[in-house]
Amino acid sequence: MVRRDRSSWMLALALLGVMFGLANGWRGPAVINGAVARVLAPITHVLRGAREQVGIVSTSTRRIEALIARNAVLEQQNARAQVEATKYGQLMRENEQLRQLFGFKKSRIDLDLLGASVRAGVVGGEPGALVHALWLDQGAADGVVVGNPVASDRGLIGRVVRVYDGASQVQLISDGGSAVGARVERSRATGMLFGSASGEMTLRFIPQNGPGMPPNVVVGDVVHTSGLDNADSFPGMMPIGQVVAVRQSDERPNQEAVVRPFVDLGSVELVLVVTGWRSEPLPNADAANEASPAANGPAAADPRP
Amino acid sequence: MNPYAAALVLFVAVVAQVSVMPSASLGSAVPHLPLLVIVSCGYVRGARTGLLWALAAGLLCDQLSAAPIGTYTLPLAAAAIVVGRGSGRLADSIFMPAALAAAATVVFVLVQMVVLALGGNVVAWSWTAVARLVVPAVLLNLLWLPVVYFPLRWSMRRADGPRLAWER
Repeated sequence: MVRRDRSSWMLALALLGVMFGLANGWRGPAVINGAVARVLAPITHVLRGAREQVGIVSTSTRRIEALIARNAVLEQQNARAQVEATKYGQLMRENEQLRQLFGFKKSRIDLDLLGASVRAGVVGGEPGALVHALWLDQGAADGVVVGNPVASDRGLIGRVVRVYDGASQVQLISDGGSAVGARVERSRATGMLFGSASGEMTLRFIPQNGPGMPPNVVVGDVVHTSGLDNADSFPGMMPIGQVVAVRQSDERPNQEAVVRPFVDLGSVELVLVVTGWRSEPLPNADAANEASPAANGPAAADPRP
Repeated sequence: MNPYAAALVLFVAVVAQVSVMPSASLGSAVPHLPLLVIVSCGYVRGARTGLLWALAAGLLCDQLSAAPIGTYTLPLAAAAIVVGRGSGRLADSIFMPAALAAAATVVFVLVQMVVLALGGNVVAWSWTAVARLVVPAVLLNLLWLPVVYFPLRWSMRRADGPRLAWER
């Protein structure tokens, strides 16, 4: 009983001492403080280090999350930019093609040119490789009729052979059933340009060279439509292609030339259908062409790619 | 195979031939999906079925062609007859369909050249001209054969049972 009273008094005195020291700002003995500091210092250091590491990880995590979110936003923006760039590129190409076609149209004001839509060439082809034809997305509803010549800014492509309301089919000049009245630009020699199943185009019935006269056809000569009404009729002076080989034999009355078309007939995308044009040539139209070839404009004067 | 499904397969093949395959050309040659469908069908199901499919596909192709009717029907029928001769040999091997596809392509091109020539078209008959048409066509069709043959064989077996017609 006495021992318990003594300890209670000691506790009470200790509390009073603490309260007194607190009231007077006492910090305790320096020796004790130093010892405590020495023990606590490494522990505090370790704990502080750990806290800093945790803080760094926490901050890094937050930063990574922010970066991931930012990256996602940037990826979306990049994807949108790529789509825009693709669209821009397509529009640029389409614009360029339209400008070329417009230039061709301006240079041939004698022709009523109906611009087919951009996808005219890619609507369809022929089910096989031996027949050469294209499907256009313009038809009778757009004024297309059977027999209309079809061209691009670089030259002649073919002729409309079938027409439906919203579509038409074009027989290419490289088809085995195609025959076009053609003329060698340099010598003015005329012939007939035939396609073939393999797609090779041959200019036939070119007169043999006269003695002492320049050759009627040589490699490199430019060939265009003659406008003569002796075959499937096309307007005159439409560029067709360039002579790449000449087949000549003294035994034959005529010579032949292999012609490579100016238009890449396998990758046509945009064409012009010549509507409202009649096969009967205008009086002196050919003579006028011969008199002033420059009147046919830059597209007709220099159609080479 | 269900006739409606067969018609759908042929229609898809012909439309793809007209719209997509021109961009898969090699020189002047183009892989011919309807021909490959007929080769596959004729090999798996026999000459009679192949010939039926050839007539249907040929008429569809003729409808979409600038050439007169028969320009595709006759060559495809001739090709189907060739395939029918080899049907049922070396079962489940890709080599026999490949050999038949090559032979069918040669027959298809040659018969079509004859048909076009008879129709008044210009056709060069020199060895080099014929080779320039036939060789790339054979190579392209062999390249595309697995794309057509395996799905068709699988769907035919699934639709009509695991046994092939000539195995019964």
